[in-house]
Amino acid sequence: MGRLNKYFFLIPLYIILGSLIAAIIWYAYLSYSLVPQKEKKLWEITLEHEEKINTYLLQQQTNTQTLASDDTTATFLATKSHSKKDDEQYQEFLDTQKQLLGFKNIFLIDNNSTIVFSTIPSVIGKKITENTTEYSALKKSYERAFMALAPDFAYFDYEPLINERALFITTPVVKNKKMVGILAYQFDQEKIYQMINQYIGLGTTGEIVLAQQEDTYALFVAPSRHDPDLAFKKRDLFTKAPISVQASALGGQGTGVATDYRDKKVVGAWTFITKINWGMIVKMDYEEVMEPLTTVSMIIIFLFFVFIIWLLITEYFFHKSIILQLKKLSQTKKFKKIPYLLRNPFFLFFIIATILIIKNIIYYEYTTISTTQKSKAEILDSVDKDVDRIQSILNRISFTTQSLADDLHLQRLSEEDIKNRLNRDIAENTIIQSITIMLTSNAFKKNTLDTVTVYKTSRTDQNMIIEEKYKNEDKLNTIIKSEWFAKTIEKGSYWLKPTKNKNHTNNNNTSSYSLIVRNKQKNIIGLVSLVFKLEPLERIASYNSLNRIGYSILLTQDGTFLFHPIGSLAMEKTFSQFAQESGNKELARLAQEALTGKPLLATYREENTNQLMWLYTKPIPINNWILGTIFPIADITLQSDIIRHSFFWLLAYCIIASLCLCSFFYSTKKLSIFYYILLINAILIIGLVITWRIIQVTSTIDRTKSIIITDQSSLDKFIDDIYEETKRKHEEEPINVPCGLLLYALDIPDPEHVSISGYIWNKYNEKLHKNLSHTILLPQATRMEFGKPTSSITDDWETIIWHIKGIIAQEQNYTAFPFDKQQIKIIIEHQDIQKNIFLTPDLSAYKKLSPESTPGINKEFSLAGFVIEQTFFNYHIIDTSTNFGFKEYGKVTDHFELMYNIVISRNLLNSFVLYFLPLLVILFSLFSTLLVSEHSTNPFRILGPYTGLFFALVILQRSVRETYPTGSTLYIEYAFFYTYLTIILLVLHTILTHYYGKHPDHKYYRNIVFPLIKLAFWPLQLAAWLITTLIVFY
Amino acid sequence: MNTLKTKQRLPFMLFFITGIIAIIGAWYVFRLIYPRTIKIGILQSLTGKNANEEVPVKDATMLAVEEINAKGGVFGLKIEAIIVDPKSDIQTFGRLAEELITQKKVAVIFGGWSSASRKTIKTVVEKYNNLLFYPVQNEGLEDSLNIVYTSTTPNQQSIPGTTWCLYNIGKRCFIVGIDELFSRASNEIIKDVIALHSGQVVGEAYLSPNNIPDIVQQIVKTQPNVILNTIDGPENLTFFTELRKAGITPEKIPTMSFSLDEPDLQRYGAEYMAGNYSSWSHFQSIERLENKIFVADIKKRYGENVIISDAMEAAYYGVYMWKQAVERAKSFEIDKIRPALKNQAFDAPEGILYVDDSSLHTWSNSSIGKIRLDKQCTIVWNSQKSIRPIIYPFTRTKEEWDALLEKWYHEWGDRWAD
Repeated sequence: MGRLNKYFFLIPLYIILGSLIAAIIWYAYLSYSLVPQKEKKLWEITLEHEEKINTYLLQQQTNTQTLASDDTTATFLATKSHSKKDDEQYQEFLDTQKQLLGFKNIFLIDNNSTIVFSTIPSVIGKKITENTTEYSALKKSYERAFMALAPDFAYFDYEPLINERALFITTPVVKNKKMVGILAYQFDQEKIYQMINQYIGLGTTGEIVLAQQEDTYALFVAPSRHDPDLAFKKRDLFTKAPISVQASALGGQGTGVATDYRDKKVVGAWTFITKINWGMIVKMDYEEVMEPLTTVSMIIIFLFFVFIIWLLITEYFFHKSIILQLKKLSQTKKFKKIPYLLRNPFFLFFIIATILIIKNIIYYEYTTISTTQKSKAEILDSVDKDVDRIQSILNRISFTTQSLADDLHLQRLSEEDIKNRLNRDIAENTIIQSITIMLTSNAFKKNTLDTVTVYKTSRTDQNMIIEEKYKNEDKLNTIIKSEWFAKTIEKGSYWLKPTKNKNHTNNNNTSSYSLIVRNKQKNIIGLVSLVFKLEPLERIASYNSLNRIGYSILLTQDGTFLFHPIGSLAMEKTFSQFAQESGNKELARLAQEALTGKPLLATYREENTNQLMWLYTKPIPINNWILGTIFPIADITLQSDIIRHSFFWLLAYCIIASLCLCSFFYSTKKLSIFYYILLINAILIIGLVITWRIIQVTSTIDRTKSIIITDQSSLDKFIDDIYEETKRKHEEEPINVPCGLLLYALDIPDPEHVSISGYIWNKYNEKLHKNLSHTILLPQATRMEFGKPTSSITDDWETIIWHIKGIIAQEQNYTAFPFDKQQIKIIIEHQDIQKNIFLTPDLSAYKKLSPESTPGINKEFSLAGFVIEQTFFNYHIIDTSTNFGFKEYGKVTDHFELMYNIVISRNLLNSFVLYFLPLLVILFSLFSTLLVSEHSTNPFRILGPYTGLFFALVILQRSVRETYPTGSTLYIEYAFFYTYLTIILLVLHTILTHYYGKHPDHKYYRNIVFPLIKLAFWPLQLAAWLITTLIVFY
Repeated sequence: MNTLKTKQRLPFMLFFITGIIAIIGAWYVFRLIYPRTIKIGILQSLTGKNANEEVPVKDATMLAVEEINAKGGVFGLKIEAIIVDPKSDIQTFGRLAEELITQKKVAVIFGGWSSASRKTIKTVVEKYNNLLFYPVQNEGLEDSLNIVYTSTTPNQQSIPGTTWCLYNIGKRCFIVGIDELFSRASNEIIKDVIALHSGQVVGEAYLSPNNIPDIVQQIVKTQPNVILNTIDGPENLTFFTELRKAGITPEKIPTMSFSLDEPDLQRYGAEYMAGNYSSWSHFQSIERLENKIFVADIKKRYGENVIISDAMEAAYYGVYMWKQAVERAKSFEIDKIRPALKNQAFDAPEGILYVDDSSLHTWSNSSIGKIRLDKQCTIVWNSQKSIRPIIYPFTRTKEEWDALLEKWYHEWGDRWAD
């Protein structure tokens, strides 16, 4: 090649190299600057929206004050009784103001908290402090405005008076320097929603989210771009993950990379909207922000390949001179000074790959341990906090009792003082149910009480002090013999073991704390006893912010359940009895250990589900009651995706290290070319088989949008959550109907349908389920025959069983074929959609509930070509797109569907025989043809078999496509594509051989390229399969 | 020839590179030893009659400073706190504030105690356009562009406290106070509130040397339903002791105090005060995670015996509010910080608080606590959300309130009584 030709190749090579370096620098710059730039932009958008919302709120506040300061309003409120005409006149006045001010509703509330006027006539005359629940934000806002004489913004919450979520501004109304009441101004939150529903500058994933703090939760208050149903969903606050919604809902402002409510990594800016205490987050998906990086990385990859190709072309044309240069280089003294091993690139790569293997193993171990530790710490922390909360409630009881006892001891209270005190104490402490003081005339002597004065007040008869005097009566003897009295006298103070209030529901359970009173001579002269509600403690235990599968328990000192998700256990059984009855000796031992007064952290195996569980209990210091939590360990181990990624990387490095080692031995002539290629093939085959195994083991079904029910506790916890949520949203109490399913046959006739046959049943309670139709629905059924129902009645329960046989629609995903796992989902619904009914799995009907024990499937059952891995019930969270024409549809229960799931995995042998084996035969045929092609003089003799094999391949692929139709590429199809490519290359090779192979000037092609194609045939095929498998299943 | 040139160039290049590395290293070490700082002034009495109350407030301010410095400071600048001692003297508050601004060049001042001390500092910060974060409850009736009032206004403390008493205890009230600005002004507001709710003021008295028994006798004679108390300092102990001597227990006639906090109970004992009420925005016993952390941090830093007051909490979050405003304004200039302070929110121990958008007063919570023998308070009412500050209660016009203040100023000899 001449000098001009050399530059013709070298100049583009330098240009490509320069572009590659520039692209890498650009990549580095973008990776550091993209996020800060986007944060700045999002912060500007945040400020813009914050100002808009604040301006709107200020405007509404001014409107409220304008209306409140108008003499018409003050006069109306100051007037004690209103005629219909007065109401009409004021309504006319408001009508004129409404257009100007834009309020939604107006309420005028007098000093006695009675609504004297409202734009909603049905609430006039109602008292906002009565017949409403503790959740009324208007009530509290009224109180603030009334007490602080300042306009107040209520929390955004459900308002029972008007049956909707509402935002109010309350402001005092004064007439002639006298407080006449409060004006409550309801404004339209939709206006704020409209302000945030603008996505200019937020790309395709950006959105604005609004949330407020509610106890230990962040409550989303508006729909969002990604989730139109987001409003009023909750998520835990105080988690350790850097969640932007947490920061903003707690008054913070800032920018950064955070995790959003979808658990997606986002770049966001957040601030706090004062007055209404809303957090606002303006955010975009991290992926979209970093999208320019993907483009640049594609450019880098493209330039890299162009560079390599151009380098190879240059090498082809300047082969001799490059080899010469390399030889010269290797002959230099400096080069020879480098140790021999380091001069060999294969050895160097082997060392690097080995280091990466070690690093990956360490990293994997570290991640596993740290994830477990982190989750464990979070759970312990959560229990510790709840123990603190319970302790402070009990402290309040203890302080109030102690304070009374101290004052009685110091004789600071006259008879009148005692009565005042009891009244005030019960008014100021909503948890106290009753207070009793017993005072003896003389010092108390063992087992005798001469004369006793009893002062008692209870919440039910507030302000009614019962004062009784006893003298040597039977009633006194009964008191003396009672446990609480005897133990209090014996110990000085006593927390009575709670007993179930049989006349009421669980929420009315009570306990008591009693304390002796001594006189100045230290003789016992009486005792004080406070009866308090257990409901706040039960609520803390049931709210314990774990995932939905874990649950909490609350125990007394002797281990009796105060709270358990299975309501029937509370006050009835001890933890130890429960464990023994379950047949779990390990748990029974732990139940005893938990009573030792020390925190306990232990693991045990759940009898029913066979799951390994974690138990953590901690005593409440003040009275040694115990708060505990139980949760499956599997829930806090590494996600299967992370495990698969780690294993894939580890495997990739192991293969690279092994290949480098083989190449090193080959380059040092310790391996012949035959064994070298054989070893490489073996390594790649082993790698491929291990990859397939990893895929099988780590493939899981997507459970993110479901709540899996594996035992009675998790079901009861779910039911409690549903009841709590409906109560919070002031919906009518839901009705749960138990149902079950047993399948005798299952078949997959085509990719879109599943045929089933078996039994299905519902259970109805005579008292609870009156007026319910006794029918069940399988909404996915395209054809379903329900047999004649059989009914049986036991106690109050009627069980109705149907035989079912039919076909249900079922969408299957074959992308991963033949390593696909299918989840057959059978949705079960009750006929009465318009009623507030939700079905619950009848767990008592199944002997074993562990998903692996496949409950709901007949033991003789088998499914050709598949292995049944798991069956379980779950609640699928649904976004309702229609209300079916019922106005009230969309309640809490309407967002959950009961589903019976069957997880099946494919039997690999079938797929191997049907598809892999023919493919391997085609490849072997291609390879054999290649081997003999060198000796053939007639190219058509070679091209003929290639064409035949091509048609065989086409027929095989068509068969796969027809059996497993999908919109995307099946995994197995990549093997077909590589085989097509191989055929094309081999045809090309045959043509080149025919024209150039025998030419005396093309020794290079004949001596180097020909053998290389033969040697590289299998390694290239296997490597392509392996790389594709790793990428597709990553 | 080329080789020779390269050989000659090499030592020079090495020297040049080493020099640059050495300069960068020296600069880094210098910055480690002497980090860049921003100066702030802390103006609390460390000696004199108010030292017992003000030293813990200084400590709470310093805790916030230390926490912020530990997290990297403000804009990477460490906060350098210059603490000065006005020795509980009103005039010295003003003089030291001027020194801090003109000589020490502080960016902001945290401190002040009585209302009189605030009035003195106010003239200075307004003169030099600096900023004061004032952490004590105030009587309102004042709005300065140079003072951030981080504690409560009357409608966040005395007004809710009075209204609560009127509707939960009774409408016959006896008002006691001392002859100084906070007490006088608060009592005027309280009287207006009582009138607004159709209550009755059966007596009003101000402490002077040796007149406490006479006041107690007036109380016995008038038999109010409740005593509303704005007495500050050790006189509280004498007053409550005398009440008890006269047979007035909290069960008979409870007292609602507006200037008696938990550290006071620690100092004077709670035996005669237990069972009565106190109104603040922050109590040490508030059941909130942030409060528990704050209490634990204070105790860890300054000892287990420290009792936390409302003013300490206000002083603590005031420093954070300033930091946030500086970061939002991206400047230490007062004129840029001031607009950034508007709507600035902070998750304080008592709850989420924020600076009002029409003044520099904060939206604070309001709580009523019942005093316990263990010198803590049980919360019997809480606003559950911060309350908008009202500087001039609407019971009178701004002009009427200003005229009243001017009248007192002249009555006290053209000064603010302390």
